Amino acid sequence: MSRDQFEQELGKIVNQAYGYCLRLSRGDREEAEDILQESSVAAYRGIGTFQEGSNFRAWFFKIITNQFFKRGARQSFATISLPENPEPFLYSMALNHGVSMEADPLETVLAKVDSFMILKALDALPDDFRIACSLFFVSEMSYDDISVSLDIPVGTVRSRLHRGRKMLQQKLWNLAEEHGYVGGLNHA
Amino acid sequence: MPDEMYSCEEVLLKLADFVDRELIDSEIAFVETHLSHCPECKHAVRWEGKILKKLADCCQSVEKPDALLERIMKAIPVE
Repeated sequence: MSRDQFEQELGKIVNQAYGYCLRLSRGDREEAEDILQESSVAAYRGIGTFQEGSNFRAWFFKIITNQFFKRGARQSFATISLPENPEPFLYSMALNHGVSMEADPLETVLAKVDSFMILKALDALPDDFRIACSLFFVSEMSYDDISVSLDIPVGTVRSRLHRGRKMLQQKLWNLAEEHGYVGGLNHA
Repeated sequence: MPDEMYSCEEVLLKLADFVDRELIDSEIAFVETHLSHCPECKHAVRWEGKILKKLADCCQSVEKPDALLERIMKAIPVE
């Protein structure tokens, strides 16, 4: 792949890549750009490992993830306690607090939870779940492609996404309660 | 119309895979058959889809730096 071709491929995904780096850095824009720049240099140097015709985006995001950990990122783990029932957390909690199932979650439970709060909640997840969920939300890649980018089995991708999103919904419910929205009643 | 149908519990267990479009065709058909006659599960799927879209929109709508690609390519040595 020539330099021009590399630039062309990178140009198609650079905004998504920056978005992923921004979540890896927990919103630190300067660090995000550093990660992206280092990853781009590493990717160009290692372009021989990229198989023409394969998924450039998944390959490049794998390099970003590796670069992030090389920078000495601490991996955080936590014992997470989640309800056993299979129901989606926010939906289940909302119904239990009197919200109509026909209501719009964005206009009821999450009405007072803004983008900044949502991103902070995502950034506060333990690393394994945060990274998988961030990659999913930023790129909307398939489980197979996420598996390539994170170098983990598809089953592990599924598990981290599902559990991570459940944890995130738990945090969003807590935020909704803190900001005065519980059970369909706006508490001023 | 599929002969087999899922129960509510089975649909809820597959809900995340369903909204992520990670089910195989036969599973999708079973889920959709169930949703066509179960408003509770149908609304659960709707909620999950709206929440996920909101999360994706938050992650994707962050302000991008100007001339990002240009700066990145300047850092890559020309051989």
